[in-house]
Amino acid sequence: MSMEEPLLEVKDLRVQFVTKRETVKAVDGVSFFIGRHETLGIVGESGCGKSQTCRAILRLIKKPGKIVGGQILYQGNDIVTMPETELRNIRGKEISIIFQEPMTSLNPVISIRKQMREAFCHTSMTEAEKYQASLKMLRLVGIPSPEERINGYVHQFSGGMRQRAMIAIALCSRPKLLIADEPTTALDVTIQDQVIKLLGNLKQELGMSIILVTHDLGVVAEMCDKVAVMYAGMIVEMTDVVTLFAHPRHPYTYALMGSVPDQRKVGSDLEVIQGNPPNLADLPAGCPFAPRCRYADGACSQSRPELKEISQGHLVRCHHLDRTASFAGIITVPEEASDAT
Amino acid sequence: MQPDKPLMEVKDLCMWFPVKRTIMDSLSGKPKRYVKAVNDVNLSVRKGESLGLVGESGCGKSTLAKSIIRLYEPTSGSVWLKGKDITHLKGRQLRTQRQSMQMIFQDPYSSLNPRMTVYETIAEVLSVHHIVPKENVHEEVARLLELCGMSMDSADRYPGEFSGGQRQRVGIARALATRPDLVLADEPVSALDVSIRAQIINLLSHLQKELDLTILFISHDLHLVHYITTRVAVMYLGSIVELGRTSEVFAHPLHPYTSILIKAAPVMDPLNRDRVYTIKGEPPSPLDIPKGCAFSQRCPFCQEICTREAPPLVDRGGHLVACHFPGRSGI
Repeated sequence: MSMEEPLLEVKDLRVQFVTKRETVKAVDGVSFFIGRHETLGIVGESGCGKSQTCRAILRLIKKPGKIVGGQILYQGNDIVTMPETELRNIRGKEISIIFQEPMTSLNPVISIRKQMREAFCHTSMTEAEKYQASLKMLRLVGIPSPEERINGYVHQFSGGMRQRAMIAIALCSRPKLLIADEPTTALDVTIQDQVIKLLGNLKQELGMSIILVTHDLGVVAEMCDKVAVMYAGMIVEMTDVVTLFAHPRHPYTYALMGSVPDQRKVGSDLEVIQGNPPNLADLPAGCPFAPRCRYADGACSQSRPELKEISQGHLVRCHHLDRTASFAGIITVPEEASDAT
Repeated sequence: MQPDKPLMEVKDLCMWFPVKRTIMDSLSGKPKRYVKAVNDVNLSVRKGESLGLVGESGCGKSTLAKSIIRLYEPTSGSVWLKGKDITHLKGRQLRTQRQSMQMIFQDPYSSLNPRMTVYETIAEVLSVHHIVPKENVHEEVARLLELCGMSMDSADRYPGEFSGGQRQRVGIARALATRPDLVLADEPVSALDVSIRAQIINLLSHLQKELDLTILFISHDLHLVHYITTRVAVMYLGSIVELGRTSEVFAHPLHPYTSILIKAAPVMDPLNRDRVYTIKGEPPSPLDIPKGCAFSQRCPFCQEICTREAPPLVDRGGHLVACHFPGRSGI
């Protein structure tokens, strides 16, 4: 990407949930960075630590969870060690977050207008200005007749409208980074399509970066510049989006792509990932994916592979990179497009 | 349309739910209002085929399934199973008919009784419907579990000890226990983890071939429906707007809603992002379905006639469509 300093850099982040009975390593040494105007996708299934990574960025981990190690550098300042007062200037102002289920993350007994007003508490605007700015945001996210809707409550909004309202509130402070945690999972395809396009346009217009958390590879292909695939609290593969779909190198990424039903696969069996996602409190000693991996052998169950850079910006955590080199991606990159990222 | 007799047939089915009125409403003479969840649906399923039912949430696809299996009693119209009208059956007669149709539910976490072991869950079905003599129940449970890729070791465990995928296997085994002709699968994989979905999808398509099952497959995931079904019905606001062979519908959708749905589903191709077709707005409330074509408000090809007259479902060589300008969208 660019040579300038990244907007956000996460270094060896560790989040653990410690109870008397067990210790769950929800995030286990995750590192990545995101530049300005970039969209990073974090993909994985439930319990892989993708949401906890996002929450950690704003220090929103719920007890008994704790950030036990690593750094989160936002424009050079470490969020992990920052005093709460300083963090408040970042949380919701510089970095905003939207959640999957807008019904539960918006307040049902406060009007949209009041909730939006709160989002402007970082500014020195007058009430009238806040109102005008709120209307403008609602218009920007495509809510029709915002003058009427702004006095309404969440239950009067449909699913898509709620998600739009959430996005509007998150963007009130013109954040430099938007964290979107499964923003379209609860929505229908047509509405999902609208929200994806909306986020894409807003990114252009407001010049922000986005971290998009999802389990849907289709949404990733649609929106992201860079992708990190997570499994059992670790990043197993990270690269730009075209390379990921053209040359996946981790068996998990490859298997995930093969397991999604697609018209190209009609008539044949889907690629199956055997077994179940691992228990994070009781991870195998070696590669966490080894019990489900068809390429695994003795080495995989003994030592945990490192995240290796196999080509410029393409990181993979696997012992058997020689075997995974033959993986065929699901897209082929035409010559002229290969250098346009 | 088909020479052979359909296994299940739905004729002019309507399922309307009355909206609660206050005393003031009825005193002031406000008319009764209905949520028209299913409106004049005609559908038939032949033995051994898998029919997909797609549409956005709230389009009535689950209500239709529940009316077919008679968890609801339809407002009007009729449901026929193996040539028998089951629309208004009650009690024992209904129970006998239900043997031939079973449902697989979306959420394996809430559709299994947490206080019953896997064995009890399946054995209950066998004894209620007298499928096998008492002494063979054990054997039959083992057979069903094996069919669904589980072993008898799990029989004495509770649903809480299993992951989502395994629970869904139990749900499928339970549905197959009555040896049904028709299985209604209501979003059977949408509550599961992505890496588990393929296991269940493969299981369902194998079972279908092996047991010659007839499956009504309800899903909002178009790629999945394309993959697993032979015919597909697209629903919008309680009505079927397009119905035909899956390959045909996906290759040449005739209704603009279908083509937009297909285009809206993200494909795993980052080099091909510019999908032109988008749809504005959201489905209107089924409380007041717009006059004329229900889709007219969101349709990019809407003409004057569309807001006036509701288009009938017309058969165009085995491919049915309800649109005044079929194939207009030209994709």
